[in-house]
Amino acid sequence: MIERVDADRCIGCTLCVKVCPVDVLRMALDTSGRSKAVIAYPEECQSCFLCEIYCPTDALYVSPDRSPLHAVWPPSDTAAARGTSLPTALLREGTSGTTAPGHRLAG
Amino acid sequence: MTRHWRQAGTWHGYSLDQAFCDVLIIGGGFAGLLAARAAARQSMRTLVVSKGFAGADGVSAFAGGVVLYLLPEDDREAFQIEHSRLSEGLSHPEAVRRVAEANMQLLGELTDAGAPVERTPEGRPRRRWLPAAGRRYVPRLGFPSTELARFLRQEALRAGARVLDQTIITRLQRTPNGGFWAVGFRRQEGMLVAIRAKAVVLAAGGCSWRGAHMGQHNVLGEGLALGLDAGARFLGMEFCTSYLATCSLFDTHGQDVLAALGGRLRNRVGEDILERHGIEHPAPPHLTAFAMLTELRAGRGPIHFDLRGVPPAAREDWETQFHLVARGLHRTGVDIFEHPVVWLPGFTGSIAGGGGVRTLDLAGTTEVPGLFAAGDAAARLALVGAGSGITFLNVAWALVSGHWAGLAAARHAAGEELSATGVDELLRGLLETTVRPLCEPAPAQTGTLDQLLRHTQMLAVDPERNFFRTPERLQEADAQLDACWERLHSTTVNDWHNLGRWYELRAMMLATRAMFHSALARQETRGWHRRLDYPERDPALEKVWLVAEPTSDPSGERLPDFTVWPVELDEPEAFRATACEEGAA
Repeated sequence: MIERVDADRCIGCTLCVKVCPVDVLRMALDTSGRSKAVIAYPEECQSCFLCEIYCPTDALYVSPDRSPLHAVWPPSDTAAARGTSLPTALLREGTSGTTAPGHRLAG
Repeated sequence: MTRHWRQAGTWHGYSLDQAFCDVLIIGGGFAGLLAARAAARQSMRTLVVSKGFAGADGVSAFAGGVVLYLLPEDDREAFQIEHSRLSEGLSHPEAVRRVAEANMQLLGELTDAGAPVERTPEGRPRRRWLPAAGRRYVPRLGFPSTELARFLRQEALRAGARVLDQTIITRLQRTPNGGFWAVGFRRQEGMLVAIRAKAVVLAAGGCSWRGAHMGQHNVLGEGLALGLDAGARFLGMEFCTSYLATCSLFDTHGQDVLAALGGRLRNRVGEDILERHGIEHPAPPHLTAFAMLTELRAGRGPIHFDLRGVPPAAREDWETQFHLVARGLHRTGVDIFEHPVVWLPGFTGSIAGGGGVRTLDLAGTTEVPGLFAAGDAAARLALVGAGSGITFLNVAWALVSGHWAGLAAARHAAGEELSATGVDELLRGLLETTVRPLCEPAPAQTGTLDQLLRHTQMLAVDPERNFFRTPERLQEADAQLDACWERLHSTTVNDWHNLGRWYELRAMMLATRAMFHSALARQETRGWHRRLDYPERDPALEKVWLVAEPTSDPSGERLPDFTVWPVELDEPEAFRATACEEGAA
């Protein structure tokens, strides 16, 4: 998900607002009346990096952590009923980060 | 009216941007931009409307950077035989041949015009062989997808097309005196848009059910819904239940390429899950998905992807083809090539499955005069069959079907007379429907939109309901859709951004119902479509496609049912691409 727009670096060119496929960014006036990009709908962000790629001054940073709306495999009520509600647990394990897992395979 | 492309006005206190064109293209991905290029080159006034930024929209800019590049000297018969086996029937050799040939010609033209494709030191396209999607060797051309998409935008503009970015079309209707009204809004400016067009190319993508994969996040079936609204039908919706494996650390496409390069998916006890199910390496995506989902529901998850066998040169190649994904993975700080991590089945809906708007030929002709469909919005069973439309095939289809549909739409527009029309009664109705969910000021109901998204996703994405299908589970899921639809129609939004989300949900629900009803009708297991009560392929259905048609008005308050009927795929006229063949000169 997009983490920040660096207002000092932003030159107000609007490119990031124009290219975002999911309308995450909008323009707004800062306290000095200058037009800057702001994060308006962060939960929509798909971490696609287009805003970063188009930005001429490297003013944006997108984290690889996805928004919670971004379901890979939504927890299934039918799986819960079967007692095999794996997806949520899996996601947690999968995203727990750098401690992941080669050891499971060692045997 | 014809003097002006665009005219600013107002309607009931809203700003209204009116435009007039010969050919309207809805969608700014590969298919839409190729359609625009083709139509504009026929001297048609051509307008592209893109939900995002044409040239960075839909799934195109994020596609893996490989496209089929089959040359006349290749062993085409061997390619066809392998393709037919992996698509599990329902594709047609004639369609595959025509798409492959036209794609080769088109790529040649684009390369000559300076397209950013992988080249030899002499500047010629550099063809290489890549294992992918169950095939050991696919002849392919590499390209950086974001740059190719941007280049195609420039190509469309150079040809004379005009572009409206960040514009969502919500309603499309053919008018009694010919031509179409397309109505929508510009979400960043908060203004309505009404476009009068002689012909329309629908290229607004398929439905991912807001799937995991980068770029698929923003295609929720709007292209399909607009087709229905205008009177078109669906085809092959039962195959829209595709899952492509994705990395849990950062969603990652290209798993099938990594698997073909030596990657192995292993279950909790370290078994190669494909071997466990007797599936040969490399496997087509629908069989990989079957193995993953079966292992997970049997409690043998999680599944790790062991990439330690992928040679370093192949890894670099993959990182070039999937550069945005590589960027994200790099930021997680984990080297997935050294440390196997958890991978999950990521739902991709119609993006890897071949269903969509029914076309009567390869030029995208629909049952509605003047309406053409291209790219993922169009059903592509003729090309991908019951199996997977995957990058190298989908990109070829997007380019070729876009080009053909653009030519066909131009030809239709040339024979159509349109008189000037202001805000007529039909347009008034469409504008009213468009803004109906919008109540400013009103309490935000975005929580309800989130819930409806999750609910509809749960019904479509849940493998218990929609991958391991039974009539009972499909009917149970289908019954819940009516309540979702009713709730959506009593939900209001208080800004234009969320009005866009409202229409995404509407489209997604229509696609879900069509998928369920088509899945109930196909009584066999084939490719992506799996029925537990009919576990085998039925030889009688070897050449049968299913058409789905709504039984009531899809813009009504009630979610329509679909009647589903069979068509034989051997009608030769289905593989015409007349517009291309006669118009290319």
